Amino acid sequence: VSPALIAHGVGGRQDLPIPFELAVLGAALALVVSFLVLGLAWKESRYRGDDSGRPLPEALTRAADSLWTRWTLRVLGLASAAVVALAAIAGPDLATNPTAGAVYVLLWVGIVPASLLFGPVWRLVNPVRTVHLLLCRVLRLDPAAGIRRLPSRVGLWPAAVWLLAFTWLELVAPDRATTPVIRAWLATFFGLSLVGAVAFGSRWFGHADPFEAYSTLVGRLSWLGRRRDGRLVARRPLENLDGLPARPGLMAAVAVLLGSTMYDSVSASPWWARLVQGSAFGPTAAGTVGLLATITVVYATFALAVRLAGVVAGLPAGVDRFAHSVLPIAVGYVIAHYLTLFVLEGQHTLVLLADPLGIGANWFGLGNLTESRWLANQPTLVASLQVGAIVVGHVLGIVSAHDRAVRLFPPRRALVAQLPMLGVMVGYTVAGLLLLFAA
Amino acid sequence: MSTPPSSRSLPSRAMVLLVLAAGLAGCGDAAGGSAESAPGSITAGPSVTPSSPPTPSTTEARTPLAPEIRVVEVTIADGEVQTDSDQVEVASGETVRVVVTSDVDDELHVHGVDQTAELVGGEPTTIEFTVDEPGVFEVETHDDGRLLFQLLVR
Repeated sequence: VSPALIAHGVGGRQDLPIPFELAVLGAALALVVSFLVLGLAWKESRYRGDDSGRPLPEALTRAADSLWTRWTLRVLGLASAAVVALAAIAGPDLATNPTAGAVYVLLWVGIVPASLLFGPVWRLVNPVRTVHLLLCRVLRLDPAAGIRRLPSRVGLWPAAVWLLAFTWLELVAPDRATTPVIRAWLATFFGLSLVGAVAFGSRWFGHADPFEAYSTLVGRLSWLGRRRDGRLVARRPLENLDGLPARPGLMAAVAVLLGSTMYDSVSASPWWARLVQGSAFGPTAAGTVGLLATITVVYATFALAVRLAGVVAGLPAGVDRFAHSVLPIAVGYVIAHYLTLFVLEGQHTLVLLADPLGIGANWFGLGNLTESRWLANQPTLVASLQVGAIVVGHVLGIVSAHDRAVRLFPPRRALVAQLPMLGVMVGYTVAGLLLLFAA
Repeated sequence: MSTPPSSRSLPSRAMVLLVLAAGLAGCGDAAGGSAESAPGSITAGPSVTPSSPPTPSTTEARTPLAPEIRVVEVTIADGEVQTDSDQVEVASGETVRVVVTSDVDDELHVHGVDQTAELVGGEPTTIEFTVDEPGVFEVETHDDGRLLFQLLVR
């Protein structure tokens, strides 16, 4: 396995390390804002989650919910999946095959901007959901009905496991950029998802589908949301985030997102390459251990901080009650880490999709696209955006943890109780800046 | 354009390596028609291994030696990589000359410029190129997948 693939699923180029001054500035900013929030922010919870937001015109809600819109999106999802499946099954296993770029860049990274802009969109285009729906229609079954009831305590745990399985494929699996490997993963995922949906009904997707889970979580940082009555509203992202249900497994899912991105940074460093090359483990074993260890550290540190907060406040709270506040940090990391990859490789993948079978075709005229390398030539801008994303994510995390703490905990102890979480979040942020600086 | 072979008759491992060599998306020319957008340009092809120059066609593309050439020497012995630094910093457009001596046969690959050269066991191999785009590019061996160093282009 090539080291470039130990470092990344795709892409032969990485961003330059950020300047040291910028890393220090970011860390200082994060610290100062943290304590400002603690000292100056509101003392009573202000966020009202799904009750909040300015209603958008009713026509917009009607249009979004119309059968026509829903089926257009489903058909789009199916058609896109069909093109990628064609490339994965019948395309040549060469660098010109768009499968890896489509899955690792357009889908996995693309979920983030799409969901930030429009909310939890993947459930609307999810091709596996559509296949299940169509099968149920043909067999005259109710797609919502399963053979068994899914206990609600299952929460997001299956999604966390699938998220781990996907990040393992993307960051660790041997030959992970080759089509046979991706094809095998996707086929397994597709089959097991359908089995889950048949067993528990279509709500299985909301509990288990990693791409839906990712989109639903990131969509909670969107400006666009839904009120309890279903009306589309414009709302502040932190209000939106506050409405994220504290389901079991939420922290596990968030920890996979943050931990895997951290691991991707670590594994791109020469330090890690030397460690793996000098070890008795092979790269797959070392990578698996590294990925699991990073995710476990993220989960354990935050769980410990919430436990401590509960002890200080005299009122225990489960880690999932605060997990939403780690989400902005994870998304900040993802933006910092994958921004240029998405822009550069995303364009490149679109061009490759013009010819998924490698027969010289130019489907949809995609082959005529001119790839812009402009962003690759703006290292100062990129470094600033990276640090900006990390710091903004940190601030959003601190503020949402603060609001949740003053809601859950007795007023006199709410501030002190936040300190452990604040410490852990500063840790994540400083670690993120260090990785951008050193790796 | 150094296209990977289109034949499926190659052993699968070689196929995989070639795919990696082409550096799925982003590694330049191999990715069909994106030569203009590739981040680097090769001013001198994989040049003369002392024994037998395998790629005579590229030598004519060689430019006269620029006054500033960054020379990086790498030794690979018993699976251990020895370099002066894990990260080599160069300016965008600066010529880089990498001299690799490996105790086993292997293939050298520079990401970003998608430059490869045969490594013959025990003999130094020289590869020369420039990268015109900022970023971090990995220089590695293929057969045993070892990172030799990272090239930091500023």
